[in-house]
Amino acid sequence: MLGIEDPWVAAAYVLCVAAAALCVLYSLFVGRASDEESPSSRAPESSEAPRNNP
Amino acid sequence: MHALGEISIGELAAVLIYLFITAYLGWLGYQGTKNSTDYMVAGRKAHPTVVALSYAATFISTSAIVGFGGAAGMFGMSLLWLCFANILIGIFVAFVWLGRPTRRMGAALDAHTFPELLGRRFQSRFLQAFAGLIIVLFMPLYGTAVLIGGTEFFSQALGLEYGAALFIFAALVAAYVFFGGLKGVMYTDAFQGALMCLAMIVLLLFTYKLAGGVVEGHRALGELKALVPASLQAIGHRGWTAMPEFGFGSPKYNLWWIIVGSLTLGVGVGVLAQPQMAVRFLTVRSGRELDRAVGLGGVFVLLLVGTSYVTGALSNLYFIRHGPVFEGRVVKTLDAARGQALIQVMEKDPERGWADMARVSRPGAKPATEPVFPAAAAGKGPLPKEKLPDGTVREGLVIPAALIKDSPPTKLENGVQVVQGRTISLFAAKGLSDRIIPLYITTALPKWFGMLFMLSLLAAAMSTLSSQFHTVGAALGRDVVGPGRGGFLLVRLGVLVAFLAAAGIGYYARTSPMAVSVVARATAIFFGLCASAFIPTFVGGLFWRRMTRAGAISSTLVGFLVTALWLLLVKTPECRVLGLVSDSLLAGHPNWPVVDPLLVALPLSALTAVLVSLAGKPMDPAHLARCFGEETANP
Repeated sequence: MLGIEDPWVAAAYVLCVAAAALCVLYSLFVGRASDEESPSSRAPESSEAPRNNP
Repeated sequence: MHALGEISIGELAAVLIYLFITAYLGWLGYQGTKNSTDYMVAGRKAHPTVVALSYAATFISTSAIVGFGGAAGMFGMSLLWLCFANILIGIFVAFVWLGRPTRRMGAALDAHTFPELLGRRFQSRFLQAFAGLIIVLFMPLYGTAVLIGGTEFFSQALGLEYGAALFIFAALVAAYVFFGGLKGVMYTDAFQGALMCLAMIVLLLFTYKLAGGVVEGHRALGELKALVPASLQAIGHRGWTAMPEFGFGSPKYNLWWIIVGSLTLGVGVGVLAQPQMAVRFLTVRSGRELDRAVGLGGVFVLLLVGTSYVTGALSNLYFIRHGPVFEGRVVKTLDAARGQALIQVMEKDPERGWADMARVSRPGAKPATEPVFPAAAAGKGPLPKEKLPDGTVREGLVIPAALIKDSPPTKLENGVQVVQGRTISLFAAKGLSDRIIPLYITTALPKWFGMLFMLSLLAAAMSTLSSQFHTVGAALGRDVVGPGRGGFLLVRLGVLVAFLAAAGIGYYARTSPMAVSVVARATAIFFGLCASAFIPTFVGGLFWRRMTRAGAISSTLVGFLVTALWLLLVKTPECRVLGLVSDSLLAGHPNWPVVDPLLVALPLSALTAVLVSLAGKPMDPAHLARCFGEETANP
């Protein structure tokens, strides 16, 4: 396939393109459909250290 | 043939325009930076295109293009499995599976750095500081590797001496990080990423055109398999369009474990826990931006990484057909039908006649190539290997070559026939895989592309280096010293420290062979440390509510310690370079010395996280509700 004798290397080549296509399709379909908003009550800029240090 | 270092007014203008645009974008970042949130996480309002380009540009440095591209020139297209891992795991899994929960939890906990996210999730100041310390101590080495790569091109572009170029280059990058924060970093990343993509598109088109097309190019590359050097055949190399031989328990399987274990898994999985990458998930307003960034990110990585590996592998075809011509005598026929043979390289001196070319290693000196007169004194075979009284080791320079059929051999008086041939990329680049891609660019492509490619390498170096300076600065100023002490002014001070450390190590590294070797391995060392120390804590923190503070801390410590011990005592070549042992403790037990530390340390750190967490009390439900954004406002 594609002039490459070793099927594992040919598979890697095809999978690279397929993976990029998957990313594009995901963005086109899921990216447009998704409508998650950030939390309405975002914490104010805080520098407080976490509690219960070991 | 033209040299990359020849600089004209037009080329100087191109570099200056590039630097001006970078400075302008850094200034834009500075203008938009008003508080810590702007400085550390770009105000949590980054555009998806900027996020995608910035993520890919930060990920792909000069080592990915020149270093790994050169590795593909040596090892072949099996490296495309790493490209696949980079897209599927580094982009798709990272953005879709990790990105959304990271953004949500980061916003809920108001985390400004990756260590702070871990520290606040598990309510552990120690975890935040320890993670920050790993970054502060080890990332500058990785940064130095990138800095040295970028300096090589910067010094050539402007005709500067190395030391001055190193300092100026590092200072330029530090300047827009210092003033512009993550906004400055991401705006410049986006520009640099776009430039890198443009260069890679042109490179890919040219490469396939020179190779005679996609299918024909791959087919012709496959026919060169007899030219694989014996030393690479011995570790499993079966040709540039074939996978290495698979198995365990013999050195002949080493290459498979290097490509699949260290490169594909080590880098492909390791990217998930790179702090400078994960912080980009904190920079967007909502998960929708991350979904939109996935497509661009996947395409960019395919272009940047895929092109480098395909070009590296196909460069062998170019050099066999059009590369420098070598003369010598045939010492072994590899493939008679294709005219492929091993030749002992010979050169003719106008006064002294023919000489055998020898590889010479003198104690305390770099290996060199020297003529030995008269040629074929010991017979028609290769110049035999011998150790001279002064400790010099000398052996014949024997290379695999495709003989030039149209060129009749020259017969010498002693009966030796001198033939002409061309060799593979590695030998055309004098044995240095890092020189394969630059040599290919300067010999095969038009001069204007050499300029574009050099700018894209500068861009690759600057985009990665800027993120490293920013991450080290944030780790020092916010994670190690502590939040609430000086705000982002302290982070700026941390950026200065990162710049001085990288520039200092980069300058010193040139004078110390040991430092050079450590820096060369620094990328792999840093990826390995982060992956095993952070992945279970990071992924567990995002998805497993039962994970406890003790589980997170012990997992991080186990991952770090096992990785460190494996690198110090077992993994070659790192254990030799780091010097605690002269050779791997498992040297007699192939293929353990080439097994990546990730394959050992990550399962152990994951197991530690699970066992220690289950043995302890669950965390406070109210805190968990806050982490997972389930707090409701008081009525």
